[in-house]
Amino acid sequence: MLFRPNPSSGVPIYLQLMEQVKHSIETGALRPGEQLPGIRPLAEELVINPNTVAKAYRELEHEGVIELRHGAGAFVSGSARAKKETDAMKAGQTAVAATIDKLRARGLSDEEIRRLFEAELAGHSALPRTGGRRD
Amino acid sequence: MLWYKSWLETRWRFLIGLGLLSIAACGAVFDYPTVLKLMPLANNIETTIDTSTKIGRLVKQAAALQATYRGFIWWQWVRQNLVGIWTVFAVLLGSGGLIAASGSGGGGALFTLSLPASRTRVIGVRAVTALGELLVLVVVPSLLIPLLSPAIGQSYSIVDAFVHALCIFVAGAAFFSLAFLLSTVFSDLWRPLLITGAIACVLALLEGALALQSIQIGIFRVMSGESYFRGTGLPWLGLLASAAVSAALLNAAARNIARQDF
Amino acid sequence: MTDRADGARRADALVIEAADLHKHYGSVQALRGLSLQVPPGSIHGFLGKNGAGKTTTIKVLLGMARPTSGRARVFGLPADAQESSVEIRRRTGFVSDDKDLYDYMTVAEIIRFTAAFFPQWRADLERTYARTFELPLDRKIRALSRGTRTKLALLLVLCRRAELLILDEPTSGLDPAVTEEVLQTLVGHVASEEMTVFFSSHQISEVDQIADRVTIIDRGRAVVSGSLDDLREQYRRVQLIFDGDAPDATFRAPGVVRVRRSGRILTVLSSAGAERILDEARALNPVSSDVVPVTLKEIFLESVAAED
Repeated sequence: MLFRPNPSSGVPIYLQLMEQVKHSIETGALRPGEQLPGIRPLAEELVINPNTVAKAYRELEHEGVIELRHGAGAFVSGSARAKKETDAMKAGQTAVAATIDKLRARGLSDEEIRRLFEAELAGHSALPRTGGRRD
Repeated sequence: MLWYKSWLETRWRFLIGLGLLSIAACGAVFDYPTVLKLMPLANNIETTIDTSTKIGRLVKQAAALQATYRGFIWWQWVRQNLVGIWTVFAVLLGSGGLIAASGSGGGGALFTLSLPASRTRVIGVRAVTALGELLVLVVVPSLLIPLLSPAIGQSYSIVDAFVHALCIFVAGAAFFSLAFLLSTVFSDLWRPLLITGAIACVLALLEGALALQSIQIGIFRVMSGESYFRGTGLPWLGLLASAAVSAALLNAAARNIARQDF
Repeated sequence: MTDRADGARRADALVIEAADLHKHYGSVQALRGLSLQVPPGSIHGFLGKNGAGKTTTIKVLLGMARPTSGRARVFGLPADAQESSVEIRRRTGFVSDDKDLYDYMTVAEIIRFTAAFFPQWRADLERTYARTFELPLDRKIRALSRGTRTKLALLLVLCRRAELLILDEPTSGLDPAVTEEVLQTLVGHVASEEMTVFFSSHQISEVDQIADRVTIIDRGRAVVSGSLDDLREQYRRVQLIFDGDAPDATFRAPGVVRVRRSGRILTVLSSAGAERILDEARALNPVSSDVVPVTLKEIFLESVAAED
C-alpha cells in the first residue's frame, strides 16, 4: 500500500510518509476507522528507521488524521476534524490544479513549475519579485 | 569456550607431536635388542679409543653408559630424542596467538577482542592450554617406556620416567615462554619460531663447549635430569631458575598484550 | 518510542560519549579532537572518507586501542579501563569491516562459542536468523561467501541481547539484495528491542534510509553532527543570479559553509537556513534567487572539502 520513501529527495522521510498516508485516505485506500500497519512491520517493510515511522504517526495524530490507541495500534480517524483535513486537501488540489494550468499557459515547463513550488515551500521568499525573470 | 578455541588452534601441533614422540619412544625401546648385539663391538672401541683427550673420554663414557638399559634409555631417549623433539614442539606451541591472528586475515583477532573477556584471560587460557598439552606431550611418551620395556625383557622405573618428564617440562617451559613472549611482539608466525630456535641452538652449542672444559651447566643438562640420573639428586637450582625465567617471560607477554593497540 | 526531544535533555544517559579524542599511531594523527554524542535508541550513522578515522574511533570505543588523550565513554563507563571495557563489551555487539571471524571454525561452532559468553543468549532468535539467513551450519567459515559471512556476523551480535550495536561498514562489498536484507534485519531488530545502532558507512543512501542521527568525520574530527531531520531542514543552497559577473561577496550570517562564484551565479551553502543569507543578499542586488534543499550527500561532500 505505501511506497518506499525517497531518502535522498531532501524532504524528510517522516513528511513523505505523512503525505502518503493522507493521500491514501483521500483516495479511499484507507478508510476512517481502518487500522494502519504497526510501526515495526511498516519500518521493516519500507526499510526505514522505526523512529521515523513513530514520528510520522505522532504528527498525524497531532493533526487529527489518525488515532493512536494504546496497545491496539494506529487507526484512521473517523472524526470530523479528519474530514475537514480531507476537505481542505480537496480544495487545495483544485487550487493547485488551476495554478498549474495557468503557469503552463504562460509557457513554464513542468520542471520550472516544480522548482517554483519547492522554493516557495522552503519558506524563503523574502526577495522582491521584481522584473528580470523569464517573462 | 576459550579453552575449546585454544584446543582447536593447537590440536594439530599437539597430536602430531604426540604421535611423533610416541613412535620415537617405541623406537627407543625396540632398538635396544639391536644395540645389545653391537655391544661386543662397543667393547672393542672402548679399548682402542685414546682416552687422553677430552673427546675420547666422552665417547668412552657414552659407550659405557649404553651398556645398561637405564643408561641407554637416558642417553639415547631422554637426553637426545625426547629433549630435542619436545623442545621443538614447545617452541611451536608457543607461537601463534592474538597478534598473529591480527596480522593475517581470518584469524578473528578483532572478534576475540570484541568479546567480554579481558585480554589477560584470553592470553592466560592460551598459555595454560599449551602448557597442558606440553605436559601431556612429555608424560605420555615417557610412560610408554616402563610400559613397553617388559616386551623386550627389560624393566624401567616409572618413577624415573616421571622425574625425567617433569625436569623436561619445568626446565623446558622457558623455551615455550620465550616463543610465547616473542609472539606478542611479532605478527608473523616465523620470527618467534626462528629466533627461539636460534637461541636454543646457541645454548646447546655453548653447553657442549663448556662441557669440554668440564664445566657442567646448561639448560639442556637440567632438562635431561643428568644429576638425577647420576644419582646426585634433582637439579633444583636449575629447575627453579628456569621456572622463574618462564614466569617472568609470560608476565612480560601478558603486559605486552594488555597495552597493545589493535 | 520516546520523543526524541527527550534525548537531548537526558544527556547524562548518552550511550556513547567522546570528548576531544586524540589518537596517533607514530607520526600518523588518526584522531584530532573527535567529539561524539550518541543518545539511546537512535540509529546513528558515522560517515567519513577512507582514512578519516571511523575505524580508529570504533576501536577506541571498544577498548581495542587506547586514545592518546581525550575521553571516551560507553554506557557511562570509561572505554580505556580494562574492567569497564569488558563490561562494555558484555552489552555491545561489534562487527568489523572485514567481518573477521575464526576461519577454521564451522558456522555452528562459532555460534556455540559466542553463545557461551552471553548467559542471556536468545536461542529463539538464533534459530530464526539461521533459517532466514540460510546459514550452512556445518560449513567452515573460510568457505563462506562475503554475504553469508556478514549475515553470520550479524546473527552473532543480534542474539546476545546487546544494548548497543557497533557496525563498521556493515554492507560493504555486498550485493543490493543482501544489503537490503541486512538493513531490513537491523531496522526490524531495533523496532522490537531497546537498542542503539552506531554504524559507519560509505553509502550515504543507506544512512539516509535508516539513520535518524548522523556524524560526519573528516581528518580525525567531527565536522557535522545532529539529527538527520534537523540537517534536512536547516541546510539550504541559495543561488543568486546577477546581471553581470557575480560579486565576490562574503556573508556574515552564521552557518555559511561554502560560497562559490561561477560567471553570473553566486551559490551559498548554508547550514542555518536561508533567511539571513537572503537578507544580506538584498544589498548585492541580484536579479533573482533560488532556495533549494540540500541532500545528505551534498552536505557530506561539501563538509569534507570545506576544511582547509
